[in-house]
Amino acid sequence: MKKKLLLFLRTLNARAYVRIFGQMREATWVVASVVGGFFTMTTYIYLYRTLGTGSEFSGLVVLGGFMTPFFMNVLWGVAMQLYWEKEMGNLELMLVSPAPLSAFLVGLSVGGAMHTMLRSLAVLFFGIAVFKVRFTVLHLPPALLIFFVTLFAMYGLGIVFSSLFLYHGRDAWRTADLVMEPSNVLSGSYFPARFLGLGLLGIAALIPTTLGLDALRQLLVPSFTVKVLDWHWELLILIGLGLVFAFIASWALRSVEYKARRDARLSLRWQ
Amino acid sequence: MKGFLASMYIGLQIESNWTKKWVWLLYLAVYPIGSFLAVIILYGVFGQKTGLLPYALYGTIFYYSLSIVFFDMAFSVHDDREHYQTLKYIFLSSTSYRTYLCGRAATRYLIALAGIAINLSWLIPVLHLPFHPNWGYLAAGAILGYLVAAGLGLAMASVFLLTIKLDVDVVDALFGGLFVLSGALFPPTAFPVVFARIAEFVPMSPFIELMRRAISGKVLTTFLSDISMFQLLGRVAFSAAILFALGSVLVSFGSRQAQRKGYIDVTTAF
Repeated sequence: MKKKLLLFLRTLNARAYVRIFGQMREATWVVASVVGGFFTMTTYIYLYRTLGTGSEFSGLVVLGGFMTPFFMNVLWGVAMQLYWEKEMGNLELMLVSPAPLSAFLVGLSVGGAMHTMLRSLAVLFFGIAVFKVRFTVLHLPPALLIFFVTLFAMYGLGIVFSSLFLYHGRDAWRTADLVMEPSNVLSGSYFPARFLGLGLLGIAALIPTTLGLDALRQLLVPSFTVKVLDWHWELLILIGLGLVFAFIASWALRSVEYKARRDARLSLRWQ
Repeated sequence: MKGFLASMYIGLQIESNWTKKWVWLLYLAVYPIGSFLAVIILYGVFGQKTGLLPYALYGTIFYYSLSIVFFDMAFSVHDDREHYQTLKYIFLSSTSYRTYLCGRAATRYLIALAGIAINLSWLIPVLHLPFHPNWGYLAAGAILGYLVAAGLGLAMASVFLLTIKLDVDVVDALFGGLFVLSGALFPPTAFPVVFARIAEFVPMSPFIELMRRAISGKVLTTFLSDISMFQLLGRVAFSAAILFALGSVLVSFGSRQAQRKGYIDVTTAF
């Protein structure tokens, strides 16, 4: 048991290390993603100014801009990762090694979340500095709790999708590309999710960012009133979602490992 | 021309042979929705009184058609070099790399236009969008728009040929910046004066405004409203000529340098 745990932690550490430090080695990656995020935020802030909405919407957009890189990281950095590994020829090696696949993906998530944090904080900083957005810090501890629970649920969803995308081969890239923008919109990254209406909101609530962002806005944006649910309820739902995704992810990964070893095809590149 | 058509065919295969034909057709119709979903929600909820929905929707949709070309050209360098590892064979073939990129992107552009047409066929009646098309301007604008985007895409491809680790996030950032400034989503008159002035000279701005007017039959805002359709077409043609020539020169230079430096078959697996 101790040996297994040690192997899990070592694998987790090894994969997280690559994500954190590997991503720092090329300055253009960090700069481009921060600049890209800032431009997206600018677009929506000026759009709201054109539409003549209240200044609190700038705060909503800046918070959305802070969370969006995490969603992108979950989609392209976690959900797609097993597929990329397969296409690079690494997946076979990973599957024959004694290291558990789950440790690899958890490491990827931890590392991904940490390196994305830097980018997100930079976007948040520029948003606050350039657009003079004000947040309240009175409820910072529950806001941090909600933020980390949202990340837990989001990365859990990412791991679920990583198995699914691996099964689907070349369709995976197309699927991720197809769902990226609608998911971003539906999660209310740039407007209060309540405006989606009940039907769409029901679907959007399955994306952890939706309720996570809504709760963060309640706690950090002073004049935010158009909430979906009270943040306490949203926290409970997010914990529930996180646990469900973790359970499904664990089951899906075991299935993928079994199928890969049995059929000897799932892990082969260009298949 | 033969090389261009062959490249178009390759582009079609890359785009479509990952699934069954009917799934791909469905994908083709559904894919552009992501580009305008936010516009419909935001203008539907907050902007009904502004009357700017047609402006934003047409603007976003036509910007999307250019972004596809731009992104595809830049990304195909990575895709061919790192993923499929076929870039060296493309360079060995008798078709020039510029022709290959243009052919492949032309298919993407046609697919994007098809997706736009499918979506406009339901958006126009459902949202009561103004629709008084001037087909001549639409066709001329579509061709010139392709050249504008291809020029920028070739320039970006030349950068990617000469850099091994540069991420496509750079393309996203660049196109994000152009999206803000081009007035696709809202009139740039909302910007401070300096940026509003710069917006008039962004290569995409006249194209988007031309296509908006050509499809709606109206001048929808004050942005570029003092310029006639013919003058707009002239501006787009000028941008297309300059950018395509510049992109061609850069990609030829980039191709030569990349071969010299041995960047054609380098894989980094990053």
